[in-house]
Amino acid sequence: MPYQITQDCIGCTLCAKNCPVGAISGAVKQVHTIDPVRCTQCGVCGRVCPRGAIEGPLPGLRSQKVPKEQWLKPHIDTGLCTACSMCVLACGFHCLSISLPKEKGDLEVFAQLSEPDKCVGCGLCAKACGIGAITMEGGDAV
Amino acid sequence: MAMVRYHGRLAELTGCREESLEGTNVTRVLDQIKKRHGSEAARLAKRSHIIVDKRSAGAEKGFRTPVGTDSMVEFIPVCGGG
Amino acid sequence: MILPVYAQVDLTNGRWRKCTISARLFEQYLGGKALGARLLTDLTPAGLDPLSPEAVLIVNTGPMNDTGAPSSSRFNMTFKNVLTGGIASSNCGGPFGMLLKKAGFDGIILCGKAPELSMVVVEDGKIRIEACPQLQGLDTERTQEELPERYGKLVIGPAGENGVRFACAASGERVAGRCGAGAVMGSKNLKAVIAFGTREVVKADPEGFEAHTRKWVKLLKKHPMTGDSLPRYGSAGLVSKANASGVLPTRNFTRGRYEHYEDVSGETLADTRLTRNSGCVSCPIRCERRVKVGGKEVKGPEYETLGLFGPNVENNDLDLINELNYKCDLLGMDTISLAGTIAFAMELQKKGMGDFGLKPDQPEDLLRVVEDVAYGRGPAGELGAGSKILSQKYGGADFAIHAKGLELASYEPRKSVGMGLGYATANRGGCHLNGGYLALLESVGVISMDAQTPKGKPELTVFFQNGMEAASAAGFCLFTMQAMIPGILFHFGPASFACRAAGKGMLAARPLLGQIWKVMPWAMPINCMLVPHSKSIALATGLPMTIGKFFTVGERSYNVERLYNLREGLTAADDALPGRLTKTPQDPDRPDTVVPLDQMLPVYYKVRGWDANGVPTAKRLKHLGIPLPKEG
Repeated sequence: MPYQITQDCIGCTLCAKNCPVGAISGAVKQVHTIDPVRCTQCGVCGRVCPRGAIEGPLPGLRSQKVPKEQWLKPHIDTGLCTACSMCVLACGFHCLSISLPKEKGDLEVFAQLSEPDKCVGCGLCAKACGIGAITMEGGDAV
Repeated sequence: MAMVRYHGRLAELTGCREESLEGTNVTRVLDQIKKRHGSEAARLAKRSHIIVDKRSAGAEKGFRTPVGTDSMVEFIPVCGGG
Repeated sequence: MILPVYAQVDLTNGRWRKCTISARLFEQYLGGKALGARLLTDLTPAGLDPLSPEAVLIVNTGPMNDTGAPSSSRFNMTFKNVLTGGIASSNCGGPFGMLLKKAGFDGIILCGKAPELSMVVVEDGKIRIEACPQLQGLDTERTQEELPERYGKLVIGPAGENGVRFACAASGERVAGRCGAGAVMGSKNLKAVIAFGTREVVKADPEGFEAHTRKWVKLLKKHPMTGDSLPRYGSAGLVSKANASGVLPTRNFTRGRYEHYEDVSGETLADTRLTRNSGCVSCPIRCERRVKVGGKEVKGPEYETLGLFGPNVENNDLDLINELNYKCDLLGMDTISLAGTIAFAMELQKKGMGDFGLKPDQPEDLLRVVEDVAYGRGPAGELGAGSKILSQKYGGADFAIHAKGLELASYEPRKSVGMGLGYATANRGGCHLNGGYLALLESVGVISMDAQTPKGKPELTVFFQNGMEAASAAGFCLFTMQAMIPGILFHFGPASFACRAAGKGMLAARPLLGQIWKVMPWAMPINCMLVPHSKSIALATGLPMTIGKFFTVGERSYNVERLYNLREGLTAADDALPGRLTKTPQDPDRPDTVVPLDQMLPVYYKVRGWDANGVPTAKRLKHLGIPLPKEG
């Protein structure tokens, strides 16, 4: 089931700002809504909501705020990564990029988390990778 | 002495684009490359398109294609595309 | 099995509806250009003007797009060919295809004409049409900057709006270049199609698929062609060998060698201009060149652009080619057709048969010419009609270098006669890839094959045309097919016994290749890593795909396209090349340096199971499960 926002929402817009696919809409200080078709069930909204006002992925399961330093981050296995950029395309916040060649003619380039501060830990990059070269690690969030 | 021309990475590896080498056929020229520039260069040269006097050695006698004293031997990297 | 979902959109009134492709059609055609050809045949009456409102434009994906399989971002545009009047399919590696799929559709079928300049917005399974007068006249880059970020975008530039017949459509920096896709969009007042959504491709066997993809990617990375030379030199790396083999078109295909080829070669490009290599999304090969134009890093030229904007117009200024390439992308024009037309017009002008205000001795003037063509300005503006129409008006049909109306790519076929057969028979016109690309075996690749003999070429052409057709239909890049050439041959080297024997062996195997089509699905009821595509399709879709069935999809598609061409009035007489290539030897002292089309065509028809007039026989069509065309 896609995530939903309960009446406890205070309209702080944090969830909308952090949603990696732009699935959340709503005005400041008003109850926000999640587009069920767009929602990828990444759970980012629940981790940022100060009021625990996000319900999902199971009915009745209320979210809990998780401090940012505990969010999962993508780890890229450079032994597998081919710099195909599927993850770069999938990321909604431009956190990932392809590394630059170390010297002229260097073909060994990989995806890298170049903007870790912008990463919301949604895991869309890991899902997009066709060869499972990205794992979400770190933190202790569920 | 045949004139030898290198293209691409081989030119980088040998540090020259052109030089004169002894050799009456392609194999002999490859031996000379090995002697002068090492086995990596020779390996790369062997894997190149070898053009002797504007004709591809692959379409002639392969590595036994004769090389004359005023011949031009070119080594072009094998590429793909479309 | 999950069936492809398409949307039919009428641009005239903004109405749209969803439709699902039947399981039978899906299994027979997969998607992309193959399904596109089937749908275009069924949805349109014969004899439409390709630029009329009634004409249909299909933008679709294949089952592999957005699956994470290697080099699987290629989406397809199918429409009536603006330059040939036959079928057109144009293929592009930009992100649009993947995002169209994420937005909930495997393809969209566009017809009608919007009352004003508009764009189609595809979002989460819904479609709407928005007027966009603010985008009028903007180049492809600016247009995409003005459109919402993160959306997959398919746009046209000024050339498409102005009806240049070889205008292209762009997605990111990649383009669907050939056959005039941009002109068709322009004729429909369609400036852009944008798509966004989060639908996921559901795979039949996700674990098996990932394991197979890992294995395949490893293979591509290890292969000397897809793992080293393509990322290192790009397709541009072909210039030097093309020149050595005499297939580098020079001065409007009068010669096959260019004295200054080194100035425009892939090695020079990599050595002096390349900032790094890059690639389409999902591609581990990464053959794209990145170069600086005016201080800005942009997409660099492919082999075709280097050859045709270089030697073919007598230009050895690499920076100028980079700039021309970028300019064509911005204005939205196919570099192959444009450069081919310019070379033809130069020759017309030189012979006093017409004046287009060209200055062949001042290559830098080409920048002005390119703009004039895009905007239809001045005497050079006439070039926007393409070589065929130009030759009908000014003469010179013998040296108007096109097949069926589509300008030839950068392989001079007199020293690669199988490529010549491919150009002549390709359903979309003078295209090297749709034509089977025998140049790779005959003259520029690792295998050393007799380039002049007509023997065996028809059989090989059919084989590769079908294979590439199937790969395109699935959504794969054709470059993944190049790993079919065993990597070990590259280690031995092109001058080795193995590579020379491979060339001879392929020609000697012609009776086998000629017969195998009759039993293809049963002859290869297996999947193996030589053609990893079929297993990948099977694991992703759940279709019972094998190598044999995969090639049969290609053959089926080739026949459907052929039937479309015949229906639109093309005949065997259009399977032709200009007189320069079939009658005048490239080397005056070697009479065999022409394309012996008359010797190869009858064999080609026979191998395809077509009659002497190049018409698919009822027996062959029945075997392939293609409905017989309606009489009249």
